[in-house]
Amino acid sequence: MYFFIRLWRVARNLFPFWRLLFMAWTTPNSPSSGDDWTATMYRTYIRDNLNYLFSGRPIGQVHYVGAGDKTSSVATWADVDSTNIKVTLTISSGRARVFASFRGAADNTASSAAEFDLAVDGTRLGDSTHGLARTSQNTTHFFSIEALATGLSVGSHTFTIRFRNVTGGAVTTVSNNGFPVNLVVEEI
Amino acid sequence: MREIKAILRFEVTAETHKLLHDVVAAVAPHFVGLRGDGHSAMLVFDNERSKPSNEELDAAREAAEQFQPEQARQPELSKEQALAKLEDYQQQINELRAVIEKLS
Repeated sequence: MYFFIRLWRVARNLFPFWRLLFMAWTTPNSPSSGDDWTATMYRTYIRDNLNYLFSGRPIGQVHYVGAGDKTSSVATWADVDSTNIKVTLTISSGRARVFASFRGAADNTASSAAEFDLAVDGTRLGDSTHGLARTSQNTTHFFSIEALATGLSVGSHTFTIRFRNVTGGAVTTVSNNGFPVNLVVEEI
Repeated sequence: MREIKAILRFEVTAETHKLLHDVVAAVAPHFVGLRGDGHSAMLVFDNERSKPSNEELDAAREAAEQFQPEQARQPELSKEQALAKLEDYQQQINELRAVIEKLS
């Protein structure tokens, strides 16, 4: 019995440490008139939530330079690199700001046009047809694209960059051999 | 869409991507395009109207994995080869000129 009491005391003393490691947003209670405002309530709903809002909101970024460029001659959308160029965050607010920058090109095939977009869990955030950015036949540009993801469920979400060429057989390139591709995500 | 991965003998760039696309398209009617990443490529096939057979998929993968861009490029002529070709053209021109003079 004494052992369990000791175990409980140790676990209780470590509680603040665990909360620091796994700090998350706690939906504030709705006290009624005359309810007591306890120290536990203060710590949970005021202190911890303020700490979360000040410096605990999830952010993630990847700056990736690969061994080779990423290319696509497919007219359907796909991730530029679902292994190395992605950010996974646990979102509590249901919203996130997503930003990416990279060098992209469309080749000189007739009717070639490269299109780029951002996606969360495989669902694109830009225009339903053309995404967030496009460049025409035989052009190369440096792109900065940004979108707000809203209506996200509470939990883990994966953010990626997607690309395609509007003409099957024409080539879209995201330079990655010596060129960094950057993806930044923050909960808002 | 059906996708299969091919390990390539070269690095995919915009130029080699186009060459590889043409080679695979020649052996696989369901092939719609590919995504290149360094020394590998994801070959993409349309399987909505009809499904590609295993033989077609195997042929596409083999064509991609055996392909070397140097084979598809026009080799540059050496100086001797260029001079020989020029001489050949000159000979043909002389023959044509002789025919024209004969007719006039």
